[in-house]
Amino acid sequence: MTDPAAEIKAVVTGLAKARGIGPHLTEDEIAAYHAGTLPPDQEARAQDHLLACPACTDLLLGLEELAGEGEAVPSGEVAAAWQQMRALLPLPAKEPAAVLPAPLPFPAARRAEAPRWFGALAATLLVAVVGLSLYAASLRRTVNELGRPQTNVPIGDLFPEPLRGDKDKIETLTLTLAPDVRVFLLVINPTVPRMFPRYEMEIARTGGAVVWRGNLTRNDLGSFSLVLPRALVGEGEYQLHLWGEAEKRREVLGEYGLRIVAPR
Amino acid sequence: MSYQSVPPLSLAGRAERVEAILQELRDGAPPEERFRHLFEIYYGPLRGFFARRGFTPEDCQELTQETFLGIYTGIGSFRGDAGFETWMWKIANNAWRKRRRWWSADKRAAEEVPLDEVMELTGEPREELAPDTSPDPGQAALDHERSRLLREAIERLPEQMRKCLMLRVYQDLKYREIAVVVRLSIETVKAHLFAARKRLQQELGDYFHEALDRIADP
Repeated sequence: MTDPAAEIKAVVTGLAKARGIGPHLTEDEIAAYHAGTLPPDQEARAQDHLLACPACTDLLLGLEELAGEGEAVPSGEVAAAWQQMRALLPLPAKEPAAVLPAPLPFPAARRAEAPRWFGALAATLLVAVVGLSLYAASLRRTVNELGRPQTNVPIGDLFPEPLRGDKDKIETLTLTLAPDVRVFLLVINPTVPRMFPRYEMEIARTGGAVVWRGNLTRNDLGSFSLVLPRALVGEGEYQLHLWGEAEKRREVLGEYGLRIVAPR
Repeated sequence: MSYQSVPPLSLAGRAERVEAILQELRDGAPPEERFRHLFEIYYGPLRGFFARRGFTPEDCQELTQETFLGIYTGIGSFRGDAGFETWMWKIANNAWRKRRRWWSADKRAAEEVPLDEVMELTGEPREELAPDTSPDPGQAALDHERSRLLREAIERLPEQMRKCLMLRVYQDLKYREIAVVVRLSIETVKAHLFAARKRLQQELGDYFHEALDRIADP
C-alpha cells in the first residue's frame, strides 16, 4: 500500500468494525440519545454502536438537522411550496356566512279549495314513492348479497408495464374466478410514487365500454386496493387506467391489462 | 377566542412558538394558518434532510410534502411525549424509507446482464478486468508492520480522542457532526482531533504526516 491516507482509513475502519456493532438502535433510543435522556449505561452502549454504525449515525444526524435551522430557502420558494402543499391538504371548507331567509308574507286569505292540479301531483308522487321503494328493495338485496362474508377472496396484483420490462406492451394479468366468487380484490401499483390530492381509476372492456370509473385512496404502501363485485366485471379482457389529479394537472400513473376467466 | 399571529421566524424560541401553534390546534383553531406557520418553520430543515440523503430537488419537494401530509393527518394523535421535531423526524424517516423501497423495486426490475456477456460485447479479455496487484513479499511485510504500529498508536489515544478520530476517518464526519455523536462541544472535538494528529505524527514519523494533517482539518 502506498497511500498513507488510505492506510489510515483501512486501519481505523478495521478498528471500528472490530468493536462489533451489535443490534441497531431503535428510533426511540436514538431520539433519547439525542435528547440526553438515556441512562448512563445505555448511553455508553448507544455511543459505542454509533461509532461503528454509519446507518444509525445518519439517523441521529437527521434528527439534529431537523432540530436546526436547515438550509436557507428564499421566502418566495417557501410561499410557492406552501401553495402546492395547501392543494394537497384536506383542509375543512370555509363555512359560508349564514344568510337568513326572508320572512314569509302573511297570507292575505286562505284558499277554500285545492287547485285542480293537486290531484294529479298527488298521484304522480304516489307512483314515484312506490317505484323508489321497489328500487330500494332491489338495492338492499344486492347489498345483502355482496355483504355476505366470502372466504379466500381472489386477489390480483397489478403492476404497470415499466416495472415488468417490455415498455411497449401492457402485460395482462389473468384472474380465474370461480362461479361462486361474488367479489374480488385488485391491488394496483402505480408506476411513480407521486403524491396527488385525488386519484381516479377507469376500467373499460378492451375496445369497449367503460364498466367502472371512480376515485381511489392511496394506502400507506403507496398502492391502491379496489374491491369489485363479480357481477360488474364479467369474463373478458379489460384495460385499466390510473390517474393522479391535482388542481391544474392530470397525470397517468399506470395502465394495466386484466383478463377475467372462468375455471375450466 | 382570538389567536395571535406567529412572529417572524428564527431558531431562538422556535420550540415555544411551535408549542403555541400546537396548543392552538388542540384548542380547535382553524388549521390552515397554523399549518402554514409550521410549514414555513420546517420547510428548510426538511428539504435539507432529504437533500442530504441524495434526493433530487423534485424528490425533496415531494418528500417534504409527503411528510407534511403525514403531520397534518396525524396531528390529532400527537401527544407531545417526545417533542414535535422527534415526531416529525419519524414521519420523515418513514417517507424516506418508502421512497428507498421504490428505488429498490426499480433496481430489481432493471435487466441484469451477466459479466461474461459484457466481456463478449466489449471484447475485453477476463484477465484485463482483474490485473494482478499483489505486492512483493518484502513490501507486504513492511506494509503490515506499518499498519500494526499505526493501529497500536491509535489504540493508545485517550478514549474521547480516539472516538473523534474514528468518526472523522471511518464515517467521514465534520466537526459539527462528530460533536453531535459524541455529545461534546465543537471546540472540544477540534481540540481532540488536533491533539490526536500531533500525537500520531510524533509517534509515527514522516510517512503519515501529511495524511494526518488532512484528517484534522476537514
